[in-house]
Amino acid sequence: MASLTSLGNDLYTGARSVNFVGRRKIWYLVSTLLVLVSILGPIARGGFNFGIEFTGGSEFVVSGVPGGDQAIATNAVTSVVPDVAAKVSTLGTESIRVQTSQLTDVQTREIRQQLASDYNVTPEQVTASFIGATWGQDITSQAIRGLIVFLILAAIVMALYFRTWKMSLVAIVALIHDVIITAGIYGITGFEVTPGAVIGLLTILGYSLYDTVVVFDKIRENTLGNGADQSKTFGQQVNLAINQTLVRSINTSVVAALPVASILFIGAFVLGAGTLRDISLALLIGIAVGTYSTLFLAAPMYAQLRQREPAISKHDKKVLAEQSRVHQDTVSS
Amino acid sequence: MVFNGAGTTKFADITSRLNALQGSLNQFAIVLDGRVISAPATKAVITDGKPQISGGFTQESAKTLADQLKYGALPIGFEVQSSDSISATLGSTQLQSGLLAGLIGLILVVVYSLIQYRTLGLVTVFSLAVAAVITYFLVTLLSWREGYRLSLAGVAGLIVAIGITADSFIVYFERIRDELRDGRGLESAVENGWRRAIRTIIASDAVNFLAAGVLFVLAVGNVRGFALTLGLTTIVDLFVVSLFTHPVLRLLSRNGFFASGHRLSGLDPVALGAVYRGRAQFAAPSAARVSAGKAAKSAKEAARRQTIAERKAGSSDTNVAVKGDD
Repeated sequence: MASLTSLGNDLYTGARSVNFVGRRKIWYLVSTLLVLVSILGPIARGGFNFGIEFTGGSEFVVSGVPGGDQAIATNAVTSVVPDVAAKVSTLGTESIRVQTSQLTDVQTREIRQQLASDYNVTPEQVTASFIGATWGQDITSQAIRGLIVFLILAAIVMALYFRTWKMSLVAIVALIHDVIITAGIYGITGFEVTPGAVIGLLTILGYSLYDTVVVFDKIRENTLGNGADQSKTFGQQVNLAINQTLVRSINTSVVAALPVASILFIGAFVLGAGTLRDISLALLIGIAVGTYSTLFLAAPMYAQLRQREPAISKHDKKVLAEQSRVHQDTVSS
Repeated sequence: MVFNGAGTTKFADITSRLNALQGSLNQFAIVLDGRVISAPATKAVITDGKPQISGGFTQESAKTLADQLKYGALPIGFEVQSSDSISATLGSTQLQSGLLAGLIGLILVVVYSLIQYRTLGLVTVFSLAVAAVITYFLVTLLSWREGYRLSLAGVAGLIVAIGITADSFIVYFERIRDELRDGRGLESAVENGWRRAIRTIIASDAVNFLAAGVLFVLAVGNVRGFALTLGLTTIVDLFVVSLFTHPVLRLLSRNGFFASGHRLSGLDPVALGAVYRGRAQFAAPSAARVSAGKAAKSAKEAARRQTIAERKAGSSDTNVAVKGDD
């Protein structure tokens, strides 16, 4: 891992570099494919697997049954209400959760008693709860409203800070790219979409934009005024900036991903289904995709947008002519 | 509360009937919008039309009841969206495992930053610890004064905050290393690196704070708790990096261990590619890895461009070397 330091040196001087800007067509193709899969995949699978908070329904939790058989729960539910499908999952090490569509009070009471007697526990160890269909939707519609306001404000703030609307535009495009892919993975894997997942998705928006701003600030430094290396084309300046912050990007995403990954691991293998697992899955995917999109999508797109500006394309032509002259010199000698 | 004439007679009738009954049968039910807002028991027959409600109220609940009695119908209807009863054991398993996971994650972060930044990684660890203490204090303060409850969504905000807070230190350290690569001494590298890093940190934290602010104003419930912790930790991050991490690095830059660029300090100019030239002087970093072919070509090119005097000097050098070999 210490070799990251020497890698950092080479990236800083430009001795070694990843050609983010020059090979942009490859990255665009990769991103387009990922987005297409993320949109078509869930459709092919038949839509998202929405949690009980979105569809509404009844939930029972039987606690104090270590290693309880899930089939008992399914049978208990069908014995009371034959035409109801029960979703059974294990919570932690000694609890079992049963989710059904919405039941009447009488049915709820009967199932609760049935579960208690089938699992040999007291009725107090079985909790029954009812979740309205509007709850998850309320949270989501508020989240979406907040999101739109946030995107507009963030775009304005970034345009003012970086003094170019083009950075705002590509940052937002990268953000939408991240959200589509994160949501798509939920759709493809069939992970339940719960309010926890929605909150995880919101977090990703913040993180993705944050990551983009950090890298763009270095680009601003390398391309504006005194910091700009006049012997390089605009694309080369941008590429050097991305490479110079590459060690930061790697370190930050590792540091951000480590706690999230450990929570996902504990959440998925020890706790079973639950809010922690839902949130951390969205976070882990989002951190990876967010870092990727800043480096491979936002920055090359920005370089491409700016290259068309008359002043920059004039400068680029001059630099390219100079560079090819130097190149020919070395080849001819 | 004072009844009018008709009310007084009716109320006297009711209270005389209820007062004779036992237990919950002698209770009134004050009903508003189909909900019982208060159910006082009848203590005596009230004939003067001036009833009183007394009981174990807090100042707040008494005021609420008074407002409800005074203003009548509530402006909004309630609808039960979800009702939940979670057994205490389930909640505590979730919390314990969540905390355990957070702890494991933090240990991994500490190990990683020590490997990456050597002793400098300790600054990250201590800064994170300071940020954690301040955040814990603020969350405790909020739950005490404002009745804020840390939900799982709030915990998610905190987990992401580890990454974003640590990022400020990473951005700062990398800028210092960049300055060292350019051949600056440690003290001026710290100052210059800081000036450039703080711009980035403020800009990116501003975007983050904006996200938290908008979500907090527009959303409710779970999302709001999440937005609160995110906004809180963003501010804590700014405070810690400028009032703790930067001063500590300033002090360290005067410390011999770091200023001399010890191998384990994480700020070793030699490892960072700056070439040592003499007392506190470093050459500008050069592209160290040039391919063999390219090097040979440039050597030829250099030879071609030598002045006659240089060529003479060069050949006499060779002669000396040859003589030496004899």
